[in-house]
This record gives sequence, C-alpha cells and structure tokens, in this order.
Amino acid sequence: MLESGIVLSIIGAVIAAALAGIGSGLGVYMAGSKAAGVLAEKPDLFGKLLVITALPGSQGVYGLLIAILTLAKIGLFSGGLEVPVEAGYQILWAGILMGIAGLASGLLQGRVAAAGIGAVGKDGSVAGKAIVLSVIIETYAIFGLLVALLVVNSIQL
Amino acid sequence: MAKVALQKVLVTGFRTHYKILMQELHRSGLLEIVDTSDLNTGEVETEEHFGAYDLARIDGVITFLKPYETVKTQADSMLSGGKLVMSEEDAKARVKDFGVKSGDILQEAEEAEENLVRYENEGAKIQKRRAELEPFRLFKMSIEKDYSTETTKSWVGSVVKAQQKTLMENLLGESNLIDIDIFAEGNGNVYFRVTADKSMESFVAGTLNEMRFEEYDFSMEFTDCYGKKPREVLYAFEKEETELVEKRANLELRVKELAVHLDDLRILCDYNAWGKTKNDIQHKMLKTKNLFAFEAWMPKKSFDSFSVWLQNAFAGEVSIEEIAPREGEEAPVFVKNRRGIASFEPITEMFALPGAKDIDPTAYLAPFFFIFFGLCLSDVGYGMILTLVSAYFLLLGKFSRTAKDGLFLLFLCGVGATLGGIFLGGYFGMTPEQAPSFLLNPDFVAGIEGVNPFRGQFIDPMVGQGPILFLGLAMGLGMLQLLSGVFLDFYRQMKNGDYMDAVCDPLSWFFLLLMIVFYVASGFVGFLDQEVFKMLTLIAAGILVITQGRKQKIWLLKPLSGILGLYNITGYVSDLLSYSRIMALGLATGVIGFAMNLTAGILSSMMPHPAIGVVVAIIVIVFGHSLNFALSLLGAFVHSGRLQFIEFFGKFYEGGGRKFKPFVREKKYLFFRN
Repeated sequence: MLESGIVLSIIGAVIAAALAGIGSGLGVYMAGSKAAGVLAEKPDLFGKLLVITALPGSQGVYGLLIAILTLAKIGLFSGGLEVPVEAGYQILWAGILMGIAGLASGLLQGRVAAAGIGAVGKDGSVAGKAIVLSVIIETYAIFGLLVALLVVNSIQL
Repeated sequence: MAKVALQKVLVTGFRTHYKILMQELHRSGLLEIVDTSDLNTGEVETEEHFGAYDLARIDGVITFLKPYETVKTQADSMLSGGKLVMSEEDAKARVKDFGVKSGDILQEAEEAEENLVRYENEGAKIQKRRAELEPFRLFKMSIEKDYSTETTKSWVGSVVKAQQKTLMENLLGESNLIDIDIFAEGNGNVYFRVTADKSMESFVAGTLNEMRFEEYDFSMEFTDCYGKKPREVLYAFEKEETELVEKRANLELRVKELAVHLDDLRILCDYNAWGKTKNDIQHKMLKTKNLFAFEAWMPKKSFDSFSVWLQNAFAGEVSIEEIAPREGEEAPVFVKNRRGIASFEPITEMFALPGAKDIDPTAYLAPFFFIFFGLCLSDVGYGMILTLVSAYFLLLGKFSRTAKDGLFLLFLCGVGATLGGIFLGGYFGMTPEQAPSFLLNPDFVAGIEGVNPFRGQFIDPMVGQGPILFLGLAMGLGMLQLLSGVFLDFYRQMKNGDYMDAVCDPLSWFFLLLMIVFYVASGFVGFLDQEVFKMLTLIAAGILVITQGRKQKIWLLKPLSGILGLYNITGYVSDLLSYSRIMALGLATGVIGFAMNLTAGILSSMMPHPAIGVVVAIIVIVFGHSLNFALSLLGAFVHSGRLQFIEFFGKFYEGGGRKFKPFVREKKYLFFRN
C-alpha cells in the first residue's frame, strides 16, 4: 500500500486535516468552556470572548487547506493523476508536518486563549492584549503551513 | 501631529465664577483636572444635590422599561448607533419639561416593576400547588389531615403504574377488610386510597412499603384547604391564576404607556450624569469660602487662547498660569492625528498608548497595516463587501467622531483587500475557468506561464514561481518595516537627546541591515556590484563590534561584548521570517474559497435534479464564503496587528502612557447635532 503515490498522498491529506483539526478542536474547547464561564458573570463581553475563542480555530483551517490542496494536486476531483511514489512521500511528509504543527500549536494556543479569557473577565479592556498573546503561538502553525504549502506546491505532476 | 504636547496649569479664581467656569469647561472638554484632594484641608461643600442614587434609579427604570419600548426599525437604530440625535437646545427643553413629572413616572415604574415580580412569584406558587394537587382532582373526599377513623386506617398516595396489579392482588386478595379506591393515573403513577381495618394496619403498611408506596401528606402544603374537596380547591386556583394573568396584562399595558417616556428618561439620565461629574469634580480641588484653585492638564497650543478667554469672560477674576508637574508625575498622553490616520489609533491603543519617551507610532504603522491587511485578505469579493458595508454606514449613519474613525478603518481595510485581491487575482476563490470573462486578462492562455489569468494581476500565488514571488514580497515588505522601525528608534532617541545611543545602536544596525539588503539584492540586480556591498556589510558589522561593547566597564570585555552584540542579528532574522505569515494567510483565503466552490460543485452534481443542485450549490457557497470571510477577516486583522505590535513596535516603541481624560460631558444616550 505504501508503494502507491495516490494512497500516500491521501494519507498525508488526512493526517493534515485530522491532526490540525484535533488541535483546533481541543484549543477551542478549552477557550470556549472558559469563555462560557465568564459569560455567566459578564454577558456583555460576548463579542470580545468570541474573537479570542475563535483564535485557536485557525489551525484546523490550515490543515483543511493543505488537505484540499493535496487532493486537488493529485487530481482526486478530476479523475486522478499518476502520482510517483516519491511525490507521494513528499506530500505525506507535508501532511505530517502540518498535522503536528497544527495539533501542538492549536492545543497550546487554546491554553493561552483560556488564560487570556480569564484576564478579560476581570478587565474587559485587556482584550486586545490577550488576543496578541494568543496569536504569538499561532506563528508556529503558520510556519508549518508555509513549509507544507511550499512542499506540496513544488511537486510537478 | 501625533502626540499633542500637554501643559500643566494652575487655575485660581473667585467662587462667584466657579459655576459658570465649570459649565464651560465641562462643555468644551479642554482640561483634565488633576486630583489634588490629598492637599485639601478645607471643607468641601456640596453645591447642588446630584446624588448617585437618582442616577441609579433612572438607570434601573430605563433597564426595566426597555423591553416594553416600541422598537424603532433596526436600520434606524443601527445608523444612529443607538443614540438619540437632537440639538442641544431641544435636549435642554425636554429635560426642563420632563424634569417636573419625572419623579412620578420613576415611582410608578418602580412600583410596576415590583408588582410584576410579585405577580410572577404568586403565579409560580399557585402553579406549583396546582400541579401537586392535580392528581387528586377526582378524589371524592375533602382534604383532611388524616382519614383514619376509630376502627379503620387510611393511606393516600401513589405507586408506579406497573405495580398496580400486584398491589391489588396482594391487598384485596388478603382480606375483605381492605378497600382500594383508585382515583387517578398520571406521570406513570396510579393514585389511590387504601382503607383497612385497624387489625390489618401493619400488614398493609408492610405491603405498601414493599411496593415503594409514596404516601401523600396534605398537611405539608394544604393545611389552608382542609375541609374542601380537591376539585373545589383546584377551581379556586384556576380562578386566581386567570385573575393574576389579567392583572399582569393590565399592568403591562400601563408599563407600555410608561415606556413612551424612555427617551426623556435617557436624556435625563445623561444630564444627571453630567450633574454628578460636575459635582464630584469639586472634591478633587481646593475650595475655600471665597476662592477655588485646581491643577489641570491641557493642550499646550490652546493655552494662549484659553487664558485670553478666561481674562475676558471673568474680567480678570479667574487666573491661569503654567506650572511644572510634581515630582514623579507623568503627563497624560493625548494622541491626535489627521483624519484617516486617526482611524488607526485603536490599533495603537490596543497595544498601549505612547509613554513619555515614545513617539506616536500610528502614522507609521498605518500604511503597513493597510498593505498587510490587504495582502492577507486579498479577495476582491470580500474586500468589496467590507468596503460597501462600511461606506453605507459612514455615509448614512450619525455617529460620534471616534465611531466614524473606526468605520473608516474598516473601509480602508476593505479597499486594501480589494487592491490585494486584484494584485493576487482573488475573486471569491474562483479559478480562471469559473470566473466571468470580463475579469480575465485577454492575453491569458491556459497552460502558458508568464501571463497571469486575471486583469491587473501581478502574482499568481498558486502557479509556478508564484508562491516564491509572493513569499519574497512578504519578506521584502517585512524588511522595509523592520528598517523603518530601526530608523524610527534612531529618530526617537535623537529627539530625546540621547545622541550617543542613537548613533551607536539604531543607526549602526540600520546601516548593517541596509547593507545586507543591498548585498542580497546585488545578487539579482546586475548593476549593483556585489563585492562592494560585501565589503560595506563587513564594515557595518565591524562598526557594531566596536559600538556594542561600549557600556562594558572592563576594557578586555568590550570587544567580546561587541561580538556577542552582533548575535542580535538572529533576532532580525526571526522577525523577518515572521512576515511569511502574510503569504500564508493570503494563500489561505484563496484556497479555502476555492475549496468551498469545489464542494458546492461536487455536492450539486450529486443531486438527483439539476434544480435541487442549484439550490444546494447556492446554500453551500453562501455558507462557505461567509465562514471563510469571517475567518479570513479575523486572521488578517489579528495577524497584521501582531506584526505591528511584536516585530515593528519591538524596535522602537514601549508604550505605557496614561490616556488624557478630559473633564467632559460623557454622552451615553445623546448625540448632539450641530
């Protein structure tokens, strides 16, 4: 099975979407449950808290992006292309990279976001700063996305 | 413009002028009055009574009446930002008119609120009792504490329906001295009364216990109903409930009438709040029987005109002089920029206002933010939506200047995204094949590289060298911003008089970074001589080795510190890499839009009928693009901001200033038309 380029590519796409999705899911879960707690006391903060809660959600989108790009690259939507095994491995590694980067950074960003939500609960005016702190972690998901993009895009089929 | 220079002043005058002066100051919002109450030894007397209690009362009644207000149309209240737009004279007149009857209205509203709560509680209580008694509706006897007689013992209660048969068999089969009267079923239970001869008491009690019999005890809740039949009591409850509902409805009608006064109450609320701030402010200053004095901050350039005005208005009996700040007292920060630039102030404020030694970064971050945001969102469709929506509100809405500045920022972001979209060929994530032909470049032929498919497109970020080109552009913009940041640090330190530091640190770094840029560029551009720039780069590095160790006391450590200082270049490299996010986010918008279109296409082709397919496609496209729009907008805003805060501000900006908070009329509900 690991000698088929198509299969390798699809595994790569699945890993990218799934792991990054798990990372985002856990991140949003942590931020969201904290936000719900704060909302009970201060419902006016909903807008701000929504933004902070949504921040760890981007990793899942990046994973989805790599997955879709991969599937489009191997022509899954248009009947399928010949994918050499080397290209398959290339895509697999890109998917693994995106998946791990998304999983770890999404999870950890969720923790920072949750802590930030706690701070916003005490003082609504620090929302901007809480957002910035949370966004710092996302850098590493973006780097992962960038490298994965470049790897997938460099393949000529 | 940027940071407005503030001057500390001391205002003194005769008490006779106090009231008028305060009124004018409150209206103009020119001064921030400094709290010097710790210096106050004299007694403070209250001039007018504007208690916090009144304000809280009005606020409470507004909150209570609000749900009963006949709602203005949504668009209307959005366009006015939920404020009451009127002229100051009208507002004043209305306060005067309404002030007289406000007391009665407040009292009536408060009573109505109390009564509504009371009705609700009573209703809930009756409902609970009714639900409890409901199973006994067909119970033939009246409610009593105990149904036992001299020779018999009775139990009233329920068991689960499934137990009914066993219960009957066990009890009735045992003896004819036991009688069961089942009078109701419900909630999976049967309700009944068992009557038995006293001799059977322990047997019946035991059997009932085994069946998990739940005995009902009227003495818990219904002592007041003894002697009445449950049916009668239930009937009385129902009547009471209808009465309550009727009372409630009548009262609510009256409350709706009261809600007509909401706007008057709102105006009154603002006026009372102003009265309170005016009253509170006197606690911050010095007042004696005949004199008053206070310290304040004000814009330096208004000082002359203000002192002339004081001279004229009070015939020289109120004086103003410039004074030095107290030891350790820092001037507040008042940032004022030209329109357009001012729209970016919230971004600066999100980080922190400029501190004492900072320059206002707003004007410098504005163009970068505009470009970064545009490239991150990079879709003509999304950009146009943002532009048009914000333009609609800008043109038709009546907002305060701050709100309009905020809207204008959105408008600019929309324009940026539209331009970014044209630049990168983003149109709702459409591929050239899907796009209408008027968007396409007439010279474009599929499969041939070098010509971009869309009109006005410079980079095709997904094809051939496109991604690398885009990445290079992002890094190039990043380098430009880093260089600007370092140069601004030089400017700032020169301005603060730290000439030595300014030349040794930021300027030396600026030189090195610039030389590196030229050295790299000379590899691509023919007419630049690479060898020359290699030399210049080394010289710049040499300068840094010399300058970076200058603060070491021990001579031997100076060159060592210098070489170590050169390691800071890694910081610049990581900063620069951070700008690659522009490219990643720019690609993400297009690719996800493309994925949404693709999904819509696949799903619609799977539908049994083409018409259903079209509907499905429209739903997926609308939903998908809304999601992508929201996520990309958030991402573009947040990440463009981050690049300012961490990479750009890191070079020259500390922040930490306290905002200038003038003594001014805060308008919670009102908006004065000029």
